[in-house]
Amino acid sequence: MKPSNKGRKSAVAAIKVQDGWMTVETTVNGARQSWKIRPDDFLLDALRREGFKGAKKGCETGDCGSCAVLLDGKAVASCLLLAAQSQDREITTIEGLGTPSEPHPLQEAFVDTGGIQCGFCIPGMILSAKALLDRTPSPTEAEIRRALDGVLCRCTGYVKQVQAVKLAAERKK
Amino acid sequence: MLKNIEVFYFPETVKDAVRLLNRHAPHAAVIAGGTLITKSPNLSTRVLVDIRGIDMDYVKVQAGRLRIGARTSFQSLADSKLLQKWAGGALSRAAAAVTTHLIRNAGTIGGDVARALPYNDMPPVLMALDAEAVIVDGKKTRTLPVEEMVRGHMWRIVGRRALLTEFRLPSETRKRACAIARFARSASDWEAMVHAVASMEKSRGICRNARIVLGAVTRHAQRFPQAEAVLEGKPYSESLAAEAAQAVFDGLTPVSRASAEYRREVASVLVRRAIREVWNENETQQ
Ligand SMILES: Cc1cc2nc3c(=O)[nH]c(=O)nc-3n(C[C@H](O)[C@H](O)[C@H](O)COP(=O)(O)OP(=O)(O)OC[C@H]3O[C@@H](n4cnc5c(N)ncnc54)[C@H](O)[C@@H]3O)c2cc1C
Ligand code: FES
Ligand code: FES
Repeated sequence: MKPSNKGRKSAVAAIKVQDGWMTVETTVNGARQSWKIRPDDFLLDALRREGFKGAKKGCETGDCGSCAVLLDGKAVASCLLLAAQSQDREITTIEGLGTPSEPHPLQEAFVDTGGIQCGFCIPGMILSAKALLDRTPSPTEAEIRRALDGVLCRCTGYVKQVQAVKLAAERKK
Repeated sequence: MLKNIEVFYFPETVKDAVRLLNRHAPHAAVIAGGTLITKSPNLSTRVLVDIRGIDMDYVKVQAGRLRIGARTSFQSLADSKLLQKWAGGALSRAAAAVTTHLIRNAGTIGGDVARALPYNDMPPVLMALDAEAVIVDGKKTRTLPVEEMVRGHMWRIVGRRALLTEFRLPSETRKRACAIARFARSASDWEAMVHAVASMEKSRGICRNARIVLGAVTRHAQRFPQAEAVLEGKPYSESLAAEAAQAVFDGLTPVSRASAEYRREVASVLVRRAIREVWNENETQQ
């Protein structure tokens, strides 16, 4: 983080806007990023502009969860946070979990249980599930439902997605 | 929106944060979780002070009092073992009931009180437990009952130079019984229609230090001294609960959202249920 040079006493870290732009340094999926952004850019917009299109734009009001990403390991709505709030933090997007040839165990479990239809909610679902399993490797069904309660799915009816998280947890044992 | 931001600061101490707020007043604002401020247009804000680096994320007991850092997230409140035991875990349950995991992870108790919309979930419970807010504004540190803090946006109450650092709950509230009865259109609707909280000491069948608080029905959450007076010092009975509920019905003038008659009716029903639940933990609400 760049320390501010404004005032003698000020060793407080700061990011300044110059000619309408500012630079945010953050880490996405383990790789350091330096973003040139507008001060009122949301994290979701910055991520999508930088190519992390797994984070989806649904409601932009914090209600649907399709924009969920992990910020320092916790699931948050990237449409509600300013990109500048991610300064010096670790973001995980769905792009950081597995590859088409080697999917993450959660991605595999979602496919195996048929928990994916159109796919729009899936990045938010899987990242929220990852945050849960990282903390609670053997969750109860109630815990799974709570951990996914911010992500709306218009297709599946949730049952298979809950099964998917259970399956991923069992396979991990 | 926040188009006119010129600088973001990331202070690591209360002192630095307050100094920045003072230096840039009235154009500086605090950003905690960001779940409210980022969507609320205030074109005059030019400086954002992000307080995430300050050690204000804790729940602890000191000298018998409960202290909650203003930057503590809803999820940390829900998970706190200490809070789960304080006043029967009412505040922790209220935090666990916040709409979704995405908001519980980001939203903070300080933000919920600083920008106390009438239906915010923390203020009524804090008020029922006699909570005080600790405010630091450069010159001094002072405390203010949450009841006073929520009468408007924080900057109207204590000015734009102030940082809310902590909530304190008096030691005697630890043993109080506290029940919440909340009614919204759906479980995921955070704008409750009516939010009733009852707390009191159950002293050998007698109601002591009763608090009746209603959120979401008037311009800000408020206590109902008329209903509290009905309960005070009396042995609990169903009819006493009904009498207190009647006092709410008679004294309440609800504003906006749904008709006043409807809300007055629902408010009195929820107050009665909350009081009953305080005395009979098994009763289910809603
Ligand atoms: C989809 C959605 C669902 C929600 N559900 C709920 C719910 O169920 N219950 C509920 O109560 N609320 C809910 N909210 C509202 C909001 O999330 C909460 O009010 C939350 O507590 C705000 O905290 P924050 O840290 O995100 O505040 P911020 O947005 O960071 O700040 C809010 C305001 O408070 C000021 N502020 C914050 N902290 C301090 C401080 N320490 N000192 C001085 N000023 C400060 C800021 O300057 C700003 O004006 C919801 C919001 C959304 C978008
Ligand atoms: S787009 Fe962020 S919650 Fe809907
Ligand atoms: S699979 Fe289509 S929204 Fe969930």
